[in-house]
Amino acid sequence: MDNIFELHDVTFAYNPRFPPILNGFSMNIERGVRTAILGCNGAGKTTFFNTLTGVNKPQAGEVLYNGEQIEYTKAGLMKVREDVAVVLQNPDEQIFCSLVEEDVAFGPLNIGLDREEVERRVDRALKDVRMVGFNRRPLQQLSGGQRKRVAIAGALAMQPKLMIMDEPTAGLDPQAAVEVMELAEKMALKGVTVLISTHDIDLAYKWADRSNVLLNGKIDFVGSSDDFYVNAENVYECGLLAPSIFNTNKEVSAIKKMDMAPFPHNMAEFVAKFGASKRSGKLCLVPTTVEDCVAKFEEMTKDVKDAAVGIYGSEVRFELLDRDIEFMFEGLESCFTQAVKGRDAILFYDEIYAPTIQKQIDRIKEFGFDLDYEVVA
Amino acid sequence: MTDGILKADKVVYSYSRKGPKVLNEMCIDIPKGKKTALLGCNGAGKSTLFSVLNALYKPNDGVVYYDGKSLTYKHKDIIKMRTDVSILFQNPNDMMFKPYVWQDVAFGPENLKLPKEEVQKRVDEALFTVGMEKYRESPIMKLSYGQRKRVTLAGVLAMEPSVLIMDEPTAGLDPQMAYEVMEIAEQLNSKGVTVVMSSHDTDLTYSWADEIRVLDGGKCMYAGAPEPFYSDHRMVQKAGLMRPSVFMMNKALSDLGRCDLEPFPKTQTQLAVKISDCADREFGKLYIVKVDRDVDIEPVLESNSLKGKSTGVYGISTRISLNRTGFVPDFYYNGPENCTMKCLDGHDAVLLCDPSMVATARSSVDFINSNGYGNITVQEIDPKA
Amino acid sequence: MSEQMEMDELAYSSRMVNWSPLGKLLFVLVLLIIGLVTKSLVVPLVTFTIGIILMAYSTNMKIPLILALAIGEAIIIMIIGSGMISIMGSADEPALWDAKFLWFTIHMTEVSFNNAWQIFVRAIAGVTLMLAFASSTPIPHLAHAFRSIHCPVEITELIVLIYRYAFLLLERFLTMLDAAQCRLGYNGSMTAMRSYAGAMAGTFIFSMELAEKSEAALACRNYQGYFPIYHPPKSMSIWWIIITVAFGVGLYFLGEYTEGWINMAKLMGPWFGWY
Repeated sequence: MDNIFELHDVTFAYNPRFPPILNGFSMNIERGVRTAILGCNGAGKTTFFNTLTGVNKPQAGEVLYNGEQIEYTKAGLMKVREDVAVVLQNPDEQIFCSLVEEDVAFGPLNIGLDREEVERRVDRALKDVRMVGFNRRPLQQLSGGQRKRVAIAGALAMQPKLMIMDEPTAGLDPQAAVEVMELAEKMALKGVTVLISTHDIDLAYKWADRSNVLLNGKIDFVGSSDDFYVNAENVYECGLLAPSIFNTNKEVSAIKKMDMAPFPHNMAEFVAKFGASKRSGKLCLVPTTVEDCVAKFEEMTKDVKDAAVGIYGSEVRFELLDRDIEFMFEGLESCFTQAVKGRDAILFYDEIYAPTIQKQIDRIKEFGFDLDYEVVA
Repeated sequence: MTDGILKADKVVYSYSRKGPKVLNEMCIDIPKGKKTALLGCNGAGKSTLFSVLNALYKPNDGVVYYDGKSLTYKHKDIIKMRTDVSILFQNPNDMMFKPYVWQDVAFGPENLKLPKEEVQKRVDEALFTVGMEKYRESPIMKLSYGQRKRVTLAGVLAMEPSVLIMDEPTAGLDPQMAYEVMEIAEQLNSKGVTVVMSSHDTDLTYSWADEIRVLDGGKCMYAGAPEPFYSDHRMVQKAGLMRPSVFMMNKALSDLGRCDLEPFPKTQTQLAVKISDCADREFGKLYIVKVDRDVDIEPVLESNSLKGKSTGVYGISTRISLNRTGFVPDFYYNGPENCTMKCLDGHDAVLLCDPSMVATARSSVDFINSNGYGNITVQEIDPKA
Repeated sequence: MSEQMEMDELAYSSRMVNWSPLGKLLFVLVLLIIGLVTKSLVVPLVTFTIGIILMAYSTNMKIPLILALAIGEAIIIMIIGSGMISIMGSADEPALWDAKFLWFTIHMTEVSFNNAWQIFVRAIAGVTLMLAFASSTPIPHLAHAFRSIHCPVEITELIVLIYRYAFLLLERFLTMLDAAQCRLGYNGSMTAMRSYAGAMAGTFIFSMELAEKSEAALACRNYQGYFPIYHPPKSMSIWWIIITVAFGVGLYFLGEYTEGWINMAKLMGPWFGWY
């Protein structure tokens, strides 16, 4: 296992007179794996993140980055912090400069990159969070959601190897939340290890490959989300509730006397398991780039009647924002659901997401459904 | 537009002279005694609307009505309105004024100039409702975010408002705490309080709200039942929202011909039953025991031969009684749904329920029975009868 | 929007924002000093005009309400102050106006009247020059300027941080006052005072918590002890020094030359019936 971080028996207390927040905490973060951190309020998530970035030095135990112990010297910490970026829940806690572009440039400038490189990174980061044109705006004027996107851009500009997001969708409206998760997916596809802590159980269930559940300063569970939620008592003890799709699957499986496994993680899989039609609709999967997406869109939607059209990925969405598209924000899930229901569907997506699409195809197959799909090159 | 308890008529508001109009000829009404969800993306004007409805901000144009009368913005009238209408702000730190928990909860009632005993009584009651009675003497600085949120809710409850406005009450809360907040909102409504909630969580509001109001660009773009809104994907997209998963699953399966579109299931249990075709099975029986705060649970279960069956709880007075007697139920959260599921599975279940919440507790079972998806016998038991 | 936000917005959208902050400061200070040093009334009138022109250019002729109010307030204070000076002339000189008001003796002489005018004009010249500077220089630029003259890093960074957090804390304070209103915190004057106190205490506590969290966040972002400026304004070039010296010297000699040209007492005498 290639672990980007390893924590062995870490104990940390802010104040020695009070009980430690992290108590014999051991955990491995695997490189490139989409990891979710779950746990009730006060379980120790923020302390844990601060331990990863070296802000908290544990009183006992060791923290290994890339297999080596973190040196708590200026140089040693900088080495870690160049590669680890944190996006906090409240953006005001981590935005320090007056203008948008200044704050995004703050991190890169601090590690001594030269001007052109910083400019490139700032422009790229602002483009990724869809805040192009906001460069010279003072931060006081921005709304909460916009500030959050600036904070994310600031983390992206560091081109980190590990990206930690504390409640990335909190405070964002649903469509903005979808875009943030698409961004997290893009980063994961680029090889960045993405660690998300959230109370949105449904979100974590859909997205994460691996879930870690914190309870009372220790890791209570590591593994796939399905294995965790099956144990209802443990879920309750950890201060959590099971995701709605999990519960519905459990209930319907019980009524129909079916096996709970395989567990559907999104609606397409749910419908494939319980309500699939005999014949699959034709699903056209169209990877696009910024340059050719409009042309492809025009061509593919020319002759279709009653096919569902969906979008996945912020670049193609930006180009087609003014078109009347049925599933502008839920493209991936919805197009697959429609196909499973027997309706034809066309999904346009940024080409970088090809592996994500393939993963969904494979998952649908696991439910025993013969999907009629074609990737249109 | 029907007349609600709070109404805005062509209200215009912008934060600065040259700034954009956050509320742009907003016409909206809040129905009395109902549970209303206010939906809309960031920047649509939800928080601003609350502030205008509560006379915090005076609109640049248009009229705000409370209980049929337009607001005069005179000090006395505003005070009177605020004794009836309370807002719970999203960020608990914005609402905390005193160093200790009980002092902060007492802030509102003290300002109402109530006698000391009444203030203390309300503080105790409110803290109990939110489950923070053990933290009465605790300094607020030591509390976590979720605990602070509960304390601010207690502070608002202590004012015993007839209209409660909540701005994103479950944001930042872990799922169990979020559920508790929703239960409190449900309980208040069963006592006749008008509850208005703004949220992004369309799943949560779908199962809870009677009606929705959707804001977009400073206007109210939709008012009424949730289903017609969610059925129009363009409207939903324009408003910056996503459709609730229960609604989507129902629609998906009805499009497939597996079931009819209506009646619309509001909870996962109702959805599960609707799509499962199990009308001819053996069902368990649901016992609803009305538990008041001074009822002892174990003896009641004994005398009605209900021991050994699965138990769930629902409602504040039940939880108070639980606390007092130390009884441990099987389902601490989502009592009604879990008990209903047990019955569908063929087992009996006992729901210990606050007397004022029985109707809500029965809603899923009534949905199942009245639509012919199943036949679960319900027996209501009143220990005091 | 709070006034602080408006000033901030103003500075960033000024036409003069990219001029060297040190250069601007030097220029403004030198003009101020010359106006104080010379005895002529012409010089402060000239510097006042320069101040007005710079302000008009900086804000593109759209002087916002807050600036207008600031100037108005300053003028009123000056008038009152100068007025006091003008009526407290030396008893050895002949009076233009002698009167008694309650227990107060009014003794306005030519010297005191002219003095008052001089002080008034110098003062409003100072106000317009400083406002021209403030309305075109955001605080971070100023801090950057101080840093470049090797002012201790701790002081300059402190200025920037105070500036940044002042906004946040003000926002928080105002929101808490709103929340107090909703809980009837203004129901009576004692209650209102308690609400204010509570809001202040709450803001203070918030600032402490924010400080703690920000410390961690700064560390994570590799804070090196100073805030780098992404688009630094131009540093002071030799031209600023040349222009400033030129103006300074020119105004000084103008002052010498025009000393005594304007005698406000004699100018306004006919209106009041003096002389």
